[in-house]
Amino acid sequence: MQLTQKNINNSNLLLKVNNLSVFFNTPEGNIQVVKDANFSLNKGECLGVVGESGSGKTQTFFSITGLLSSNGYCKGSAIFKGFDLITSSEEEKRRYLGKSIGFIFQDPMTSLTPHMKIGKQLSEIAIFHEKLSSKLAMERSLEVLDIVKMPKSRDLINSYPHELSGGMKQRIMIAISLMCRPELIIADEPTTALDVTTQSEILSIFNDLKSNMNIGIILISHNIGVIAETSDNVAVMKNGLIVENGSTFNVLTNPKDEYTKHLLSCIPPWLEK
Amino acid sequence: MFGIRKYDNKMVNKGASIVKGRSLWIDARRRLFQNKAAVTALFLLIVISLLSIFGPFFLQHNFSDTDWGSIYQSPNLQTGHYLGTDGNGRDLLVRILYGGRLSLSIGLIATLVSVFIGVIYGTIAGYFGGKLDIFMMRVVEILYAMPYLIFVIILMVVFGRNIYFLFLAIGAVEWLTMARIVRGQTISLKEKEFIETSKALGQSDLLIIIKHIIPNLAGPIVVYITLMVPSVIILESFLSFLGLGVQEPLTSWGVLISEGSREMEAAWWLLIFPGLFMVITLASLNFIGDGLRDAIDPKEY
Repeated sequence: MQLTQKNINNSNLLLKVNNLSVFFNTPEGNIQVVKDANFSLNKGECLGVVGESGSGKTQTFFSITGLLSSNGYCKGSAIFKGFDLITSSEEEKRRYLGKSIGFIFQDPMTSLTPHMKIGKQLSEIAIFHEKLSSKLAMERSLEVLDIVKMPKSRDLINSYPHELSGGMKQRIMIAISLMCRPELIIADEPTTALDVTTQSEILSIFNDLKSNMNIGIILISHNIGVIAETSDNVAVMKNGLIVENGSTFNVLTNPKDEYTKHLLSCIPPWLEK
Repeated sequence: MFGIRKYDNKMVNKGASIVKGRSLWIDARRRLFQNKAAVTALFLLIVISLLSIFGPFFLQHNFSDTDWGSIYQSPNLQTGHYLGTDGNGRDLLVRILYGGRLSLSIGLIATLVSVFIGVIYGTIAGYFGGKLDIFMMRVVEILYAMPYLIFVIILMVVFGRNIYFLFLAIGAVEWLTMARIVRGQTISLKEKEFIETSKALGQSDLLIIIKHIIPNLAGPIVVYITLMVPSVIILESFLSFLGLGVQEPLTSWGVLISEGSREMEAAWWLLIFPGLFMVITLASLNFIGDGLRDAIDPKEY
């Protein structure tokens, strides 16, 4: 821990990504899907990453968390609290993943293991990472379910994923990522599979996590409205390049890049009122 | 234009009310018990198993007692030989029940052996993939290519006609199919998002296999077990028919049928009754397997 403090000048800095590139070996040759990405995230801030499908937003964060498929590899560095997530081994990375770094996937319907009760899936993470007893872990699950505003959490921990709606499942996923009191949550299009009212509930939870628990959030989305509601900073990606990066207000009100302008012009005009 | 909106907590708390968790297995059981054929089959199978286990205690004859005074007796209620006797004057009913013990336990144990090997082998090959998978599956294919009958005969010749080796030999042959099925299922499972989620949450590969993959394989495995038990019983009968199975005076359904077929012109009951027991058992297992398949995966209807 002392070592990490020394390496970071700005004590608020949570994640610093330098010149991150992601490549894939394919039969057609070597393809670079992310080109020299640079960005950073402070505690209690939200970074929005927007871009069209295939712009490399998901792969950027898959490479950080080690979820790239077997033919992918990456270069550069991603320093999380003084620890490089790119060069470290699987074993070392596992101490951070799920513990200080939570990950939320796009589709809540398939992200929960179908045969396990909700309470067990929640407590499993804390038992694995913090070696809690199952009773303590269950108590923590109840706390975490309150944070994500799930009603009747005592009944809920005894139900199975197929008995819940999509919005509820996504809140369970957020709860799972909160189990070990993370400092960073990476959410990969967390609201894409949900309807608009559920989406706003989920986003309000993210806002709470950010301001009340001082968690840094990276929100990947192709929906600029979602980004605008939650993010402090925004990075716009196109074809693997971060074309624009800055505070959300500046980027959205005064876009510099052609692509950002185009993206903003795609919002139906009646929404701007 | 992009202001942060405030939301009412009441709106957030509108989750559906949940009373008690109902697992997919409980649902599957309910569907299974709605299936009349499967329930009847289950009942018949339980009756035959209980008869095989406890029946011999209540019968007056012993399975190995020869009685030269009553050779080739046809079924007769007065003498206590309810299903008749064989060429050595031994009571057929007791012998069928003893044979049932052996056939059913071979079916069960050899199947469990093959499931055990197959699941471990298949999940490792499927989960880790790549070169390891290619190597492990080529090994399975080589073993597949060996004629299993010769394999079993060699085993029997080398290790002697020991009943435990019969269990092992059949299990060692049957696990190949199990490994293939499990591997295929594992490959499709590991692409699912809940496995990726577990990986992203930092769980180790071993834990993912044990906690997230194998329990999700349980459906297909259970169905396959019910279809594998009959094939093992038939395989044992076949080996016994060839004289490679259990030894006298112990018996199995295969041995009884093999003996009965030699004498069916003189004593029809020696073939009919063991055959009947075996047919009922195998048909029941197949019906249960069908019912389970429909119950566990209702999309297949």
